[in-house]
Amino acid sequence: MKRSTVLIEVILDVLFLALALVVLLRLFSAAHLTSDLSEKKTRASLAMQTVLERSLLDPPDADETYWYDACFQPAEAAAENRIELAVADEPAGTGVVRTLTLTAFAGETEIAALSGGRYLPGEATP
Amino acid sequence: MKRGDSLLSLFIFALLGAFALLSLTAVLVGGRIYRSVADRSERNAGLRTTSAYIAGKVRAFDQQGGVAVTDEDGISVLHLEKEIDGSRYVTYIYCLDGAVREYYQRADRAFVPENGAAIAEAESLSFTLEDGGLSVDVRQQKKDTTLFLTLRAGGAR
Repeated sequence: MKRSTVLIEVILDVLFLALALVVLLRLFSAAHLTSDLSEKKTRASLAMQTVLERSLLDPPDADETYWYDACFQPAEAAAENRIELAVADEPAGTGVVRTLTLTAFAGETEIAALSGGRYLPGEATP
Repeated sequence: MKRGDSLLSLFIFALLGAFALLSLTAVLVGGRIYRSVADRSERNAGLRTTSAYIAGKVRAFDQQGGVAVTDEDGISVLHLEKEIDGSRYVTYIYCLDGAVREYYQRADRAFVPENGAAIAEAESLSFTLEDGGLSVDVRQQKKDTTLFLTLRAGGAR
């Protein structure tokens, strides 16, 4: 009787420890992933800001894709991360308002978005 | 002591050993992850501080002839100039001794890099004036970042 009580107590302790460890490891893993995503978002935001500033200087006419390495530094085509630029025009007065929408992807996951616009004056029609 | 009792004691000691080993592993893994999260957080904060600070300064000084880039003994220096009460004052931004530094003085005085106050940690910082904008390359914790800022008022000179 005494022996089995001790055994049950030990088994319950081990179960409790295993449960606590699983919870802790999941928390550690979540913290790691969150901080990883946070760094990617920071770097993606800076890269998007750069693309937007350059694009507003000379607004592109069509959608474009920019490729980046793991640290969101410009890379060759088909690299790990990318920023997609979508162009949309809306007539306004004699010109158009060109809206540029940037979406950053880490792999296939969308992590951040940014948009900006510029008025492009057109020829005045009589 | 019976054979069964000694086996039970052995089993309990083995479990206690496993208990201790698993606890130690959890502490070590936790410590490592905490360090990596703290490093990342610091890197992020440094990156955001540097980029937001430089972008804010450049926007504030974005006026005709307000922005210039020079090379002072191998240090890439951003000059942000403004006229106040008839005198010209300049803010210098550059990287020295592992930190982004800034200092402010009258434009007719000589640039002394040691006078700068540290803003954020960085391994290198360089500025390039391009057509219509300023390109900023910063290296922090062995990672490079490039930032482009449009000079809306044609601030470069």
